[in-house]
Amino acid sequence: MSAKPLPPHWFHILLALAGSDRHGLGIQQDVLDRTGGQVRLWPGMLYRNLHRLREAGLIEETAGPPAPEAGSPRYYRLTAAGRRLCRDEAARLADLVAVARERRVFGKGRP
Amino acid sequence: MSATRRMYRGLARLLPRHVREEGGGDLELAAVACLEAARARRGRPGVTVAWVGLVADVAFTAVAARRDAARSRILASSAAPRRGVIERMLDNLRKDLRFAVRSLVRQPGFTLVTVLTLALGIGANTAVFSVLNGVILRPLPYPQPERLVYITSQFPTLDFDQFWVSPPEFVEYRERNQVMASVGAYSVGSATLGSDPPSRPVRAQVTPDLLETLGVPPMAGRPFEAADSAPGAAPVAILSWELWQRGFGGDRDVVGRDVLINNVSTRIVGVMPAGFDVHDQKIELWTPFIIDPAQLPGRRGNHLLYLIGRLAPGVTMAQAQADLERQLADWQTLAPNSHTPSPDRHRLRIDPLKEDMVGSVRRALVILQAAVAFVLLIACANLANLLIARADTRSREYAVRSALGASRGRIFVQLVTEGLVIAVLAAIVGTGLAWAGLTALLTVNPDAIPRTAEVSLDWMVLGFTLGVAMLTAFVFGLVPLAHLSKGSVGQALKDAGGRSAAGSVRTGLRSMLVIGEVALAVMLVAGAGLLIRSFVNLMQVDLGFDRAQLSTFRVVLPGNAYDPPAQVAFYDRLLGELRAIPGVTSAALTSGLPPLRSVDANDTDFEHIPNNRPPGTQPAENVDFWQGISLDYVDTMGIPVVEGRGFERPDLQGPPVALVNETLARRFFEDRSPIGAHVKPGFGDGTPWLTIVGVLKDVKQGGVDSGAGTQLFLLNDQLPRVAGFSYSQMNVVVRSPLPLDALAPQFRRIMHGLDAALPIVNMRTMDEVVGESVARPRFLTLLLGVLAALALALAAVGTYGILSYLVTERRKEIGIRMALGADRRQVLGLVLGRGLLLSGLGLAAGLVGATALTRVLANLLFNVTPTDPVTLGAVTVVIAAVALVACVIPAFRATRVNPIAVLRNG
Repeated sequence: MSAKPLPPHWFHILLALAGSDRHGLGIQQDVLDRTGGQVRLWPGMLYRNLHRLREAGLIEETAGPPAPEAGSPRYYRLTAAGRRLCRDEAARLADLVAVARERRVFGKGRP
Repeated sequence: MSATRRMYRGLARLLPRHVREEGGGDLELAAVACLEAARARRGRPGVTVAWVGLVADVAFTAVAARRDAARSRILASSAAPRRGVIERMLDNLRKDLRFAVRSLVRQPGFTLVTVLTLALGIGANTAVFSVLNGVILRPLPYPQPERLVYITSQFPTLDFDQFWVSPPEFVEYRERNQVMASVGAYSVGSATLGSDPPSRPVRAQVTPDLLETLGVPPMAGRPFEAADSAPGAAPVAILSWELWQRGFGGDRDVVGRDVLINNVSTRIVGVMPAGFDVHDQKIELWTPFIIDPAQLPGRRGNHLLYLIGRLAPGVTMAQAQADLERQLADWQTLAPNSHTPSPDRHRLRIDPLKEDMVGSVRRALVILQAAVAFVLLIACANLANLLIARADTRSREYAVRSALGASRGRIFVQLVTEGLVIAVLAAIVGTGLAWAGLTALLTVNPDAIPRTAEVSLDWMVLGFTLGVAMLTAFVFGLVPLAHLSKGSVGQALKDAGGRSAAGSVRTGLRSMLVIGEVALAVMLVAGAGLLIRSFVNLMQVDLGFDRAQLSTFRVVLPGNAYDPPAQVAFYDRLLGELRAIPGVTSAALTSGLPPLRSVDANDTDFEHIPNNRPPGTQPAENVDFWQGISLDYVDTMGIPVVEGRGFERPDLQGPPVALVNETLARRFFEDRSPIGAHVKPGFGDGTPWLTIVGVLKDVKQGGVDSGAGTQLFLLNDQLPRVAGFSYSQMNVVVRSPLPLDALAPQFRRIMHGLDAALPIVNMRTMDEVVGESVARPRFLTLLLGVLAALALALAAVGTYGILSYLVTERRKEIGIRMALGADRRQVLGLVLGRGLLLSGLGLAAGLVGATALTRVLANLLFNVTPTDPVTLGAVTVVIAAVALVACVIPAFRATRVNPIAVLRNG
């Protein structure tokens, strides 16, 4: 398990792809839905990081479903390395949450 | 949404290509999604914030992606995608901007001084030029304003110019001219509007053709029609937009409503558009000027109208002038042996309307503009100086960069970028200063300059000054480049901070700049000094009365409620109650309030001057100022009686009497005494001769800077008996050690008790009255003073700058000199001498320039010659003192040079 935290938006992108393969807009929408519109992946940030994640071998391009409209967007899926990294980060966060719970950060009313 | 997408598409062009390719067509959709999410959470403000976010995202991505690319290029050593020319240029621009901002932040002192210097120049220039533009350059707010002319009368033998025109003259001119599309006339006064509480707006009585001539229709209702000015027509009025807003709350239904104007029920028939005015008189109420053809012959001497004409299409001013000459030549045939226009004794004149409205302040504004241009020049000289100094300290940096392979082109672009950043910062600060300055200018003195309603911040001017500033930054930003000619790079590298030939050339250039700056400042300070001295003279003029502890307000009695005896009775009760206020020493009335009022120029018969005399042998029997006064006026005002006596209580019932002033006595009686002589004011047939019983000291009536004029004082209490009338508008003057604030409630209470329908107008202290009469010279003096101070400060900064630089540059030399035995005094002398030499040269050049330039001030000056030695002497002392201060600081720094440190470090 890596102790070094993943940049949050990387984690968000990887999490979005963990469920299913998506295109960029789909990733953005998934993050928006999950966070109630709080986390916005700005277009520049989104596509720059998709590019970087791809170069780092954490995600890869995949053939999406046949697009009904012209100009089909790129679809991405997690590579094995990406899935591992995502899992490590989730575990790291889960450990932190466990510590927080032990120390009753959430207060008495909550489990 | 498509507009949003288009906007973002433009923005997204700044993104690096690989990011754009990654996103493809979805980039814009992703942006839209962000905006939608923001709208869902926070509504419209959220969208605005999201746009800021999108811009920041693009900017950040552009920078960060380049880092990514560099990293991946090094790591993967794979061939980077070829980048386009535009992309490379944008990339360079981003780098240069970042570099420029960083280097400016690293030297906050330099940045602050440069930006402030430029901002002051830009701000002052824009503010003053905005006024100039609004007042002089911008066309009048009427359609085809260049065809509007202003027609006035002249009486060469009486020395009256641009005088009023009488109704018969207006009617005759309108009928006989062959050049005007239309001619209208107006007369400005004020009227009492309403009754509870009454107000007193400025009212113009206009002939119906005036509004047509000006070419502006009412925004609501109808214009005046010819029938409105016929005798016996139902009274009608048109409101100004301002009065409509203020007095009627902008009520649309006001048209057709009846209001009381001077106690007469009057129907409002229209509302003029906002800002509509004639001659900058701030007219609030328009009523028709009634012309009764039956009465015209008797009104020849009744000069009270100003005429505005609109030239017919294709007619030139010269043709209009010729047409006027033709009419003047045979005008006498219309009404022989009467007061009729003629080519020599009673002319009419035609001027372009605009010339007349701004002619009087044109010179002042042009002088101000020149002064501002001087300040801008000084600011630019300072900027140049600072940039050169900076270039010197950075010549090594550029040599190093050049040696490392930077092309001259790249260094050039980078220098220009730095200049641009400075200019843009200065423009932002300067715009703020201009706006603040303009607001201050217009609030300090709204009435000192005409057409202020049309003045606004002028973006063209701002652009122009910004351009000048940028050019300066550009030209002088290039100085270090001159240093980088081929082959000199090595020299610059070796020449570690020492002096070089190029360095001394630049020192020469900088010295010239300082001399120029000081010279410009001297000229400005000299001009301001002259105006200040002139203003001091103006304030020391003996007004002829004691203005301290005097308060005044104006009373207007409507003619249909008060006949002349009732007016006199009202005044008597009013003065009685005013005198009863505890702390009031005395109270009196005058129909004409000194020191500034318009001339009456009334025909007045003198018994000892024969009528029907040959022209030119005697002074024309016409008196500049008449005034009806109450018994105590002379005492209340503190006007000395030079000869004879003032009015006394027995005069109330006694034979008709009059007082005159010294000027009148001199003009009409020369060395004889006027006491006991007889005078007959032209009230009409049956006026008896009045006996002159006293001569008063001259009191200023036509302005502080003018002669007193001839004055005749009439006892208002006698007038109903003697002439069948009384002055219905009076200025009350009250002498009391109490401040006006304490008196005002009492005045209001008394007036309300006597007649609640009467307004109190123009309640002021006499000091304020005098102050307002000199508003224009005070305004000009204030502005030029501020500009001169600014110029002086900037020149001082410039002098200080060059000397500081000199000390830094010659540290080594000074150190060696000190090591060889020079003492502090000699070092001090070395630097001071240099500084004072520069300032001295600048001072000399400035004084020469000042004697040449202050001539243009000549007719704005009062009792000061443009080359007044006292002023120029004072200017010399001030400039020398400022220069000395600017020199002393660097000189002392030079004496603290540590020879050992200098010699050890080389």
